[in-house]
Amino acid sequence: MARIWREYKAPDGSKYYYNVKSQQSTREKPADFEDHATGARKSRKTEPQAIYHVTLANNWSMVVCENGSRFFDCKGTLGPQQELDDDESAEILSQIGKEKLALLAETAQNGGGKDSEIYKEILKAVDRINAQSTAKEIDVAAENENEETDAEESGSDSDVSKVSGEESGSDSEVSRVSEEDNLVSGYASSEDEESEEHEPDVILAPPDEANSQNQQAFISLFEQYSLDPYSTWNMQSKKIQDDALFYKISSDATRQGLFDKWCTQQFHDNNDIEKDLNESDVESVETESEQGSDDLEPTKYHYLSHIVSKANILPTTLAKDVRVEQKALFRQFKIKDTLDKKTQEEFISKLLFYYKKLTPEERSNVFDKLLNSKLKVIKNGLRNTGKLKELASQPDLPKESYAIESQLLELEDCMDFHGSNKFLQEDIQYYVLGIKPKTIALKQFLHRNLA
Amino acid sequence: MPRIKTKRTKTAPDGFEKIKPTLVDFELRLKEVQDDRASKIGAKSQQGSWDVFQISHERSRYVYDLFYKRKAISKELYDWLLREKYADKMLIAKWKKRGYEKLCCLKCIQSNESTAQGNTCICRVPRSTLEKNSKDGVVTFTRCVHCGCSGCASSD
Repeated sequence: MARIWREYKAPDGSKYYYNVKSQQSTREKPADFEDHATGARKSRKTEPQAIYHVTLANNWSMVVCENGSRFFDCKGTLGPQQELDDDESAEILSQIGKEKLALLAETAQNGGGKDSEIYKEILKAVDRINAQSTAKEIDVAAENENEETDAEESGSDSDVSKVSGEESGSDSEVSRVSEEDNLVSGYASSEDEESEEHEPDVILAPPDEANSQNQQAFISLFEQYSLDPYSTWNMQSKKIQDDALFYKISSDATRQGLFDKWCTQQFHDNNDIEKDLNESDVESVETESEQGSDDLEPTKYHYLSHIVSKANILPTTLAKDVRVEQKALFRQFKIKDTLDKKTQEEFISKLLFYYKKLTPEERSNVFDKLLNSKLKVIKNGLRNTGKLKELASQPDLPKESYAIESQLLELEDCMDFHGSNKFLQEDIQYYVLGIKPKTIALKQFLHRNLA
Repeated sequence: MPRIKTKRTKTAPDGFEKIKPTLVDFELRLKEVQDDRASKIGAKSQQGSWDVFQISHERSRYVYDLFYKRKAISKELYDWLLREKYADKMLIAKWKKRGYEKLCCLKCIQSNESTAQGNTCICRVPRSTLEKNSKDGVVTFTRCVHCGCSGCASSD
């Protein structure tokens, strides 16, 4: 009787059992399964004499018996095994080829000695394969599947041979062995070769694990041959169709689907990289500009007060006149963008009062008075005292007007004009001086109070 | 066929260089097909055009896939390709409709065509329907007369 229950591994690594006849599958080990396993072990005791011994990888070796049956042996484990449980060894066997193995089994059956040619040839082939360090990755799962099917089919075959043996009575030893040992035997006899055409029927439902492995191997081809993701499958498939892995996937529609998926993925990856680059660029620019003095934010009426200080102010001057006179500056500083017309006019009118009624000295006094009156609050709000001290201790002003302005902005920044000391920004008296005198006055004030 | 490039042709947007080799390949294939002589047998006289239909369908599908499926080209480049007639705009418009996802050519869905007796082409009929309607389950239809399509129903 052939083996009905088979053991498979699910993708998550757990074992399950599948009944070939009823097509049932179960996670629990069926009672039948155990029976067969022990039966196999029992039969091992009356083992036919081993003739050929081929060493495979990882301590595994293949033994061919005089009845043509084949089993595998792993050093350090219990004993002979029906199935080859080692990927590398399975790969070696698959590279040797079924025909040769079948031939070897036949030679063993016909009583060929150790010095038969096929045996030597296979030994040589094994040596050669072992020498090749970069052996191609071949799907082991599928290979195992094949062996199992063969084992099953050869089992049924040996039943046949038993009948024929009884009839003819010529080969009684072989038939007796196969009676007990109907589970043993891989590619046992040449009859197997004939029965192989039935294989696909059994393999129709391959495990998912093998499937995904196939796909992975197939996709790895794309990168190996550096296919162009911008091209069509028709053209690109020509590049890789000579590779053995290409035929791991049988239908061309699936291949094309995989290719399309791969292409999409390529573009997604590329886009992500580009995006990352762009983002990092923006970030770096931002950090740079934070460090540069150019990005210091001026106070609310900074430019407007500057314009007023530049303007030619007569007792009759109105806010309107200032605007007309300094049209160019208004445009240059983009006053329109930050302040609306009403606030501009209000501020200019207020400021004009100070410019009209007070001399520069008096205005600077007003400025000092304002700062002194708020001294405590200002002091609490200071945030970069070290830098402030350093700046205040420099008695000389920079020569360029731009440098003066940026120094003023730095001072204001250190005094936290946009944070806790924001109220100063709103105070009209803070703007009664032009940029240059204001910087000087501010420095003096800080120098006096910080020292 | 793509438009002939003149001085007035707008330069291709970015990314055209990447797909150019494929488009050139399509063009070469079309040229090869052009040289084929038409058969003198009346029934086969149209067959020379089948290859042309097939290749231009393939190219349209390529452009369509690049933009909609793989998202490999920009909208700009896609529009440019359509304007320069690298792909059949009308055919692509049909592909976006349900039931027309695999349409082979526009000729096959013209119901007023004399050859199809006022119906759509046989290649639009799903294979399963063909099998059901045939007497012994054997489908004799292989290719349609218009473009040599062997079946382009969405369910196939």
